[in-house]
Amino acid sequence: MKDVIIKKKFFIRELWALLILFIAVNLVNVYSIINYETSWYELISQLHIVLIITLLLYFLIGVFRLFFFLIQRAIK
Amino acid sequence: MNDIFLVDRREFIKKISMIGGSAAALASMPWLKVLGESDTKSSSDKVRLALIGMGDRGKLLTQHIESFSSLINAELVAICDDYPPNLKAGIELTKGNAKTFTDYRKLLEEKNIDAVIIATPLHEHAHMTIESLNSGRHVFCEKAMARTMDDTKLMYDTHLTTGKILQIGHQRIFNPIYLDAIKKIHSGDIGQVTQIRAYWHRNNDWRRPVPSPELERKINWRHYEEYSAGLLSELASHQIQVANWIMKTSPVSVMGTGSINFWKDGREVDDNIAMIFSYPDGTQFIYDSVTSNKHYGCEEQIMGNKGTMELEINKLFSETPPQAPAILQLINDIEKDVFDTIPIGGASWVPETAVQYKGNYISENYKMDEVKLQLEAFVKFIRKGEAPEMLPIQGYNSSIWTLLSEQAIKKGEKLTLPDKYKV
Repeated sequence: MKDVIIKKKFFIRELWALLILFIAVNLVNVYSIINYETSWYELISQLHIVLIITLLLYFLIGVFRLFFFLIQRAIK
Repeated sequence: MNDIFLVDRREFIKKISMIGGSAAALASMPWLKVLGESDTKSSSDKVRLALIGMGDRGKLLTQHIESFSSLINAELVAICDDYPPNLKAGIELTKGNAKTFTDYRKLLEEKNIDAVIIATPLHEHAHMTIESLNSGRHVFCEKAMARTMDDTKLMYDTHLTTGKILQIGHQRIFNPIYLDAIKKIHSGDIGQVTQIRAYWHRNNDWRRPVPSPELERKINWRHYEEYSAGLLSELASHQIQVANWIMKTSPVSVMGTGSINFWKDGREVDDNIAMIFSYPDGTQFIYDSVTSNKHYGCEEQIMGNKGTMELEINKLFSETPPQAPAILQLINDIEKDVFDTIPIGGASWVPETAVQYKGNYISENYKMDEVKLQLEAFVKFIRKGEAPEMLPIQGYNSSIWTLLSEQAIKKGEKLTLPDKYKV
């Protein structure tokens, strides 16, 4: 069976993607707090929701990336 | 001795000191003070109780007394019932330790009885209570007080003239959830109470098996007008007491209706009723009871301009429920924009359906048994030699308005209480 080797460069790139998504979702949370006039404490108390949304988006984007990767490979 | 009862009791006593901490709270529930007090009398100085009526309620009370009599320094020394199977059950429950009687008058001739507990059918409450009080005994009588308004008044007056304690079995008065709720309502937690709704719905014929036809009226006494006011005296009286307690007064009028529309089995009392009680400040108490549907069960809904309490389920619903977290509101709004259909015609309004919100608990959920507490309080009152007058007044007003409701249904009129029945 062929070993799957995850390169360091790939790993760091994925971590950056996750971090960017996490920051983006936090910004959405900031927008919501302003828009719905709730407490700023929700930046901390709703971190679990932010994390769940981050992972969900990462997974969805991952599906699209895999899809494009497979098309690219088929064209080549 | 029941350890669970002891643990819960300790917690409850702690709770009582918190609930009854303010003068205002004690004014609404003065009987709490005695429960929190330690008994200074000798433990050998036991209160000797007698129990008349060993039916379902009597058996339950006997079980309670037998399970914690040593804790409250009381003992059940005599039991009485004129129906042999009930008396036999009583002998078994008391392990033969209590003297048995088939005639309550003979029981009252006994010298070693301090107090009498009456758990007989409603029509027997008055003469048994009055004779017990006149014989110098304190009385705990199950609700409702009597079958007629005159007898109810006579029971109360006899309590006053003899100076003996009269306690009526409204156990919600000792329920920790109700105590917390009343304190919060009277402190303004739900704002001004503007309406009370209560109901007790069951889906059964309320009939007990009868070994032979001549015992039908004796065993199923709740179905016959001679012995009972049916749903009013057996169920509604509890909730009328709660409403009066909340409103700190009695109603000024009652109107209502009732019928036998489902259980056409020869019963004389209504199998469904609906009442409206009006209080002096204009608050309406809307009550109904049915016996052919149990979907909504039993509840008292106390509605104020700032919130609603549902006492049976221990819930408080604020009129301004806490907002959902902003990010969830955003997701919800996006979801609505994406998935909701766009109306292009049809109704121009949406029904004002109930707000879907789980609410908060009114009180911690104690496993404390209010029936035990009311018996404990009764014994403590006897040992102290006095009881808060508010207790028999609560029982009296509940019973008298129960019986006035019956008249309102029969006459099809809105009735007020005649002055001679006001206390």
